Amino acid sequence: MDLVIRRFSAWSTTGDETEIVSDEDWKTWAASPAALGREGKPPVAFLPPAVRRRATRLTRLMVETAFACTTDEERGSVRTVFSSRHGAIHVAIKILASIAKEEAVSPLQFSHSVHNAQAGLFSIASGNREASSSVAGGTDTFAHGFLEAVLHLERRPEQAVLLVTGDEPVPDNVAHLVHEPEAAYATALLIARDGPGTRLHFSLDPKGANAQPCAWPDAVEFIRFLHAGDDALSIGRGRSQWRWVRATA
Amino acid sequence: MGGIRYPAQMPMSCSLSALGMVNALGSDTARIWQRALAGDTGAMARRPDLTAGSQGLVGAVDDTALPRIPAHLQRYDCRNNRFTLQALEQIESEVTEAVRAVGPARVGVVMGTSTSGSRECEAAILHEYLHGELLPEFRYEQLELGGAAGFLAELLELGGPALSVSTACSSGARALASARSLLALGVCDVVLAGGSDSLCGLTSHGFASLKATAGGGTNPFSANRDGLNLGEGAALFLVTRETTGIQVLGVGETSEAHHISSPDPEGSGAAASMREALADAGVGANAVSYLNLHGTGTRLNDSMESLAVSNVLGDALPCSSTKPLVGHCLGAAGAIEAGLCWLAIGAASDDTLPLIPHRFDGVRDPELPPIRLVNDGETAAPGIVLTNSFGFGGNNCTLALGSAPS
Repeated sequence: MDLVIRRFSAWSTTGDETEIVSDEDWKTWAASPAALGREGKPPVAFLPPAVRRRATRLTRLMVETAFACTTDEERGSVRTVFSSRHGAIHVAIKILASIAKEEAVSPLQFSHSVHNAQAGLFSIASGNREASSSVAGGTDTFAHGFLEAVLHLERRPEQAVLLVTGDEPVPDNVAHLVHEPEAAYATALLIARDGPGTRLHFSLDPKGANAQPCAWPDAVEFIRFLHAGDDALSIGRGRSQWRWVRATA
Repeated sequence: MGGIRYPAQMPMSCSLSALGMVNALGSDTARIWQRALAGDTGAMARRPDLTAGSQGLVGAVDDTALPRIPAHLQRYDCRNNRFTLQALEQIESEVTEAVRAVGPARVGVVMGTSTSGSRECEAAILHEYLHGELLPEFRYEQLELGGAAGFLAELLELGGPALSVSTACSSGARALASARSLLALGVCDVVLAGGSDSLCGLTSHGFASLKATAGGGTNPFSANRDGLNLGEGAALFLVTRETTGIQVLGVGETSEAHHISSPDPEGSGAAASMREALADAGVGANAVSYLNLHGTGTRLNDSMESLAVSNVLGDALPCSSTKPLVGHCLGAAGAIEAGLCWLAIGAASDDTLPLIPHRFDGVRDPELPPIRLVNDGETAAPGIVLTNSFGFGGNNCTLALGSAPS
């Protein structure tokens, strides 16, 4: 299936917590990629102060990159897919700890514990009333998010889709159960059927040999691929291999 | 390579070829349909063992005969996945045949869930609080949302995508939308799609903290309504390109841009979702025979949904909420309610569609725009059936189901 990445953005930090935000920052990182930091916290300066104060790190990461990747006009008119492996796990574990201690559960925390909290907050902040899905796919969450974005293009070929992927390191008490490179990061891709941008062919190979797993999240590997100008990218930490090939024309 | 192609013209057919389901009404579709058609609210009960923090009734699954997760997949063991496995077992022969026909590499999974293994994580965290460490047998795959789809894909050794969709209470409906697009794009030739969710502390305490749970039975569209009843269960569809049988004819999906946990009081997002489903199915409001309401029994949902329904579909269309029968199954609700609609369409004769009655105390809230709630024994002429699902974050999805056009 052929599509175009019209624009992309990403937000993370280096291992020593230097922010990587601009295209120049990411080009520098892509020239000698290394593991990412665990702490970064984007400013989300455009959010009203009351919303910003309550925003979790994941919300800041995802909403910051979503806004950076879109113009005002696009922001209100795109369909959106938010993909995250862990989602609101920090909020959920706080609520479960409250329950264990027989303390009252905060209604505000509960409202923000849903997997689509970031999508909802983006919709509110941007006035976007279009279709939106929030997804997860285990260790292959980025690829499944990309697929869901493509499924939206199937339903509405003329409407661009904003794919936002993000995660942060899981809470300490479950960290020993997660075997995947962890970082605080988010990426955003504005994907369309055609128009200006990077043309790619996307496919799924159920029998493909597993690609060499990288030491940073797959979504960031995709940003590296876009900056580095490689011909093709294969990703797959699970049962299948996902492949993007740059169109030559 | 699994090439992905855009459809040349109209989307191809999307058949819901088989259905397995478990909820408070039963653990097989025959029993569930019999009790649903009778409007049997007898399954709703107080279950403090499953829902600490909530006083009202809940729709709990009879878990005495739930299947066990196979030993090699213990890391996926959670109440949700046991429901899913029970639903799968009901349609095992159809699924096996469909997978064999196209090959496992061409079969995908899409599951809607909001709780995934929150119930099991709650036990692990309680153990940590009491004993200083998580339950030793706790695994991350039990908890993570991706496990809802990943479990089925590993169990059946499928090569296609395994996508979990989690948009709160619209997740299960949205899973069917994704399944339909997977077939239309040619990524898959067969998809297993549905939803699963369990009663657990997080949601029962959470909805209680929002003062959204009823003190007794839920009572949608009554002047006396006081909130929702939680429920649980799973519905799993075998989704194929067969041109016969019951089809997903249209999908409507909108965001509200309003509030993180309450709907737009004007119901504009809900109305747009229903309109889009009709447009996608290529029919007008007069083609609709029945609407399965979101019908949670909260004041806000009652007012905005009746306003949206009367605006889009008028005040003569038979409507009912099935949540007084099975509770609000959250991430599974959209799939379970699509399942109840599937059973109704399947039970229709050439000229009669049986309708599930709307159960409440009969005291209509006079402030609400009038919508026609289904009475006992009522039927309609067969046509399109709509089902509404609205979730936190302002995420709406309406499905249009019906028999394949002849």
